[in-house]
Amino acid sequence: MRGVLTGDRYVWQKKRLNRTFSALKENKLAAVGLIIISVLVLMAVFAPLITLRDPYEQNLEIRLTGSNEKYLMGTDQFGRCLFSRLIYGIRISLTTGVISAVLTMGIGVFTGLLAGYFGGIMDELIMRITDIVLSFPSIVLTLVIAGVLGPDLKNIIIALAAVGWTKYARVVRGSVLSIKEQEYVESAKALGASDIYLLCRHILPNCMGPVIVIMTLSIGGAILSIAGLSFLGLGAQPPTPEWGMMLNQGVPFMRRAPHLTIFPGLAIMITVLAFNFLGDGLRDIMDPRLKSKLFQKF
Amino acid sequence: MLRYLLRRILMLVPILLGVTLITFSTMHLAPGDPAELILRGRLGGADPPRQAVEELREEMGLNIPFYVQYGKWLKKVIQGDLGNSFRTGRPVLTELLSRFPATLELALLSTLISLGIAVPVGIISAVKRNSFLDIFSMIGALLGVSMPNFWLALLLMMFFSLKLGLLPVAGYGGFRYLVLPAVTLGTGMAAMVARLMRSSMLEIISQDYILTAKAKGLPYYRVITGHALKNALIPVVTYVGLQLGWALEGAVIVESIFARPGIGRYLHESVFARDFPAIQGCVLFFALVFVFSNLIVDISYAYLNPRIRYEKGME
Repeated sequence: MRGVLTGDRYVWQKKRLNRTFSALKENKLAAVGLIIISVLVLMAVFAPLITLRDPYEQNLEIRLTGSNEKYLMGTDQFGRCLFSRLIYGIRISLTTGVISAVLTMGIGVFTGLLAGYFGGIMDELIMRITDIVLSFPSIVLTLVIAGVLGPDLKNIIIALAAVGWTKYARVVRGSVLSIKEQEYVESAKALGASDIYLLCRHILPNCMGPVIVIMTLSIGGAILSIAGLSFLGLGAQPPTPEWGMMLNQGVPFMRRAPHLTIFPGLAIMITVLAFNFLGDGLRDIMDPRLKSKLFQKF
Repeated sequence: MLRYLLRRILMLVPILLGVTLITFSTMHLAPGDPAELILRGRLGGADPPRQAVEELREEMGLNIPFYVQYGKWLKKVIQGDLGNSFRTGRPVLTELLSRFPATLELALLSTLISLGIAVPVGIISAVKRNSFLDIFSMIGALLGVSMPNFWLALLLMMFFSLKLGLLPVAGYGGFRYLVLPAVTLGTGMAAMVARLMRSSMLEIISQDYILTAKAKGLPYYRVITGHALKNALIPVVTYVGLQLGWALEGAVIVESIFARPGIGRYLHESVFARDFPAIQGCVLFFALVFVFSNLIVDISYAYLNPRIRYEKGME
């Protein structure tokens, strides 16, 4: 019985995965997003090969020079190579963005499962907290939590997770409520499956669709928030080559060295845009009900 | 109607309590002693003596358990007292009120700008679906959503203030000082509203009553402005409430960049100084504005859309 189910599921999941990939090929914007992200990942991994200079190496004699043949994007206020710093910055933005999105998703899925499966007081408590957090501008709460914990990239990730888990919890809870009434769950239960087995084997895999869509869409947002909070001085600290902080440090030299303002911002935007393209595309493909119909003809 | 209203207002109480309790407990459970920080500031960065820190903690009421502190704070809030700022010693309420106009005018103008851009763009995109204009403006909208507003602020500042010298770089004063911050926030919000306006319009114009209106021989622009627009605007109206919330969120960054003495910048400064009463006051203020603007939207929504009014038994 179990073997048959598993086999069916396997085929079905593989079909769905194939369908997702072929749909991704059709959806050009999503494909563009995926390509940009792949390029960014490659650049991050091979950063030492792409850049000629150490992103931390200072040279005060050539500070604030514009783009020239030696320095592709010029130098910053300490004479560091801006191009190297931007490339190494990809590592920071991608890892913090993904870690923050995954952590947030993990907490949200866990609490959502608890609330939906066990119900009762746990459900009430989790859902009331969710209501409160979701009915409030999130950046204010994030700012307060991150600020109080102290300026550090790690603290921003914690703050983002502390506020962001709620949107997953609500979605997952809803899915669990409907899935746990399904016949296959009932029959597995009748066969004596434990709660943990039911949750991990039957319920969790079936509520991951929307979760993955929300997560992809939220990576862009997470990167944007981390850069914004770093810009406000709450995240990465000098001399880390973090884009938001680099932008902030460039402000006093805006007149003399506008490249310090232009390039880091461009880097943030391209990265966030790529994730938004991909997320939008995935949403259209995996969840037709949410289909925005925005880019049908693309 | 009165009952509906009353119920909605009662529902706001737990939200306000919850949000303030969350901030309060974070502040008090987090590492770092505000008393020590203040003394350090007074001593110019030197380590303050243990004795002095203890005395100041006692004076600031930091030694009692945090739930007692929260209870005391709540009791005072109900009496209209938000406590005194750790930094300046002035009442937080006075500080908030003096900064409110700067934030309010920013939020209002940016919302106006966003609607002014987004509504026409959304309508045209929907009506001329898949035309060059549609594709162009929707790519613009995606760009707008992905653009960091702090970067946009700096670019605008660089171009209009430093290069062209048309507008002041930063500061607070007349309308001239308001333009760049409001445009920064407004265009960002416009991106989201335009997408919403477009999809809502698309849904409406595919409905039967639009076909009827067209079949009657009405000119197309009259069908759109007379029949479709009103219904298509409904979701957008609900959005305006959320938008005000975003404007407030954005105010934290934009006010800091443009050095506007608003509540967003006050929050930013207070967070850095660990000025607990001020942070708490700002959070309460943001929460109040946010929930009440949503309440107003909900009510107007019910008026705009009779289907909801009847469902909720408001008549």
